[in-house]
Amino acid sequence: MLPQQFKREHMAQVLEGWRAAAAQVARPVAFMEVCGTHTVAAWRSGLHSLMPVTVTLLSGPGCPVCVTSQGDIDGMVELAGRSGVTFCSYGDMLRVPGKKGSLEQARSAGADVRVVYSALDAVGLAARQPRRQVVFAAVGFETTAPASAVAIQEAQRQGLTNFSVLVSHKRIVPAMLAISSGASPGGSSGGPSGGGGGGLAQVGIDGFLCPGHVAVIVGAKAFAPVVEECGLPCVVAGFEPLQMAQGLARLTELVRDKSPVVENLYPQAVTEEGNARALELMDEVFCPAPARWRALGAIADSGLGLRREYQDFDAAARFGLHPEEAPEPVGCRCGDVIMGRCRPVDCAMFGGACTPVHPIGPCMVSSEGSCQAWFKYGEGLH
Amino acid sequence: MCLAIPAKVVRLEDEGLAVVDLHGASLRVCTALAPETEAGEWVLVHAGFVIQRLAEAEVAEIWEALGQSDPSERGEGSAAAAN
Repeated sequence: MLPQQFKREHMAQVLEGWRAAAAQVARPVAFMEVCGTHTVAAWRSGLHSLMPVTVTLLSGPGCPVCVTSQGDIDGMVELAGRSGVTFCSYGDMLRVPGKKGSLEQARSAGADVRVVYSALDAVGLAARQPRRQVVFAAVGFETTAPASAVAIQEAQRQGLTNFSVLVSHKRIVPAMLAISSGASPGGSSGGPSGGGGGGLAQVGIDGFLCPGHVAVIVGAKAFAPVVEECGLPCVVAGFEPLQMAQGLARLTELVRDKSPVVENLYPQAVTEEGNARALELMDEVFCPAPARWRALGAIADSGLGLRREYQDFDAAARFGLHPEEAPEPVGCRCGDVIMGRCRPVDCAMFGGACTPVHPIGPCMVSSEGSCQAWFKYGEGLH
Repeated sequence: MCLAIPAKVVRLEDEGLAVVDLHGASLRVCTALAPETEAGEWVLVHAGFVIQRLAEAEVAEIWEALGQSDPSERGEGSAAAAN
């Protein structure tokens, strides 16, 4: 661990170099992080107020709770309310409102909704409750998907016929490509606009701060398509303020040098190839499939579907569930927030009708959501 | 949901499980995604699974990033302080 004094001096050096690089770019630049943990770390550390005035850090679709489509949430709530079903979910999802309430409200109304820490906990529940159908909400990016794969294989090994998964996993790189295709590196008007208004609508995306823990699984090289297809630099960074500042400063230098490449500044945990065993297990159970994202809509190959050998564990098929796309809550601008089209504070409901205690949109529900992070740490930046 | 937290492996158990010390809490996790995990080393835990092995030198910085104190400073045997 670096001594604090050294770290402060090091941060000062990074900021000085970053400001110099930003001045050399000589135009506003905007980078996007696509990781809820980065979102929170940036706000909590005050990084937004330290960065050069010409640099903007946008929070993209990196919070799994926030990007889960309204239709998928409605499907979860509907399934949880069915007789004989024990519905298992990570705790983050419980308070997201669907058109018929949240999982938490379904539980209050008598549904058997359980919060699990691990996907294997749901398998254990199924083994202990053979007369109930145990459904696991398989939500999250590549960090979480391998765990779902292990759980499904374990259920198969145990011969459990009362366990199934409602798959809503997401793959981050296809989403980054979808966003990038609307971005205009170097331009000032090409960004992911298309509505929403807000103070950031005219800012394009000049690069990505890549998610450290997703990268642990997929490896740094997984982001190469963003460079090759969109010409945007990608830097994998850790979550310590200094690490994030270094990552963003490096992105600024790469923009200055017109050198779009993938760089890994989190080698402590991330390798080029990723976690080979996790990728192997994920590939055994899942295959790329289209998925619906809040705000982004349907994106090809951006989700995961069960391979044929594991179709018996598909909860949607088992229970005849056909989630339909549903509109977002009236007035909610979470979609615009996720796409970087507006800041949380640009939403008329922010901090008034919508707060962490009484959230309306998922970005305020999730502890990793942009709105909740801004609500907690963004005072003074309104 | 993509939060991963460092923990120290206290012991390995059968069927790909291990008991880790996660900031003072004793927790059983799955090592299927990192089967080479060994007792005594630091690992990154996400949603009940070990997703990466870590060098001890990196643990303090990760904890700092998470806004927590550094558990490695408490020394060995901290699993006994499970809460």
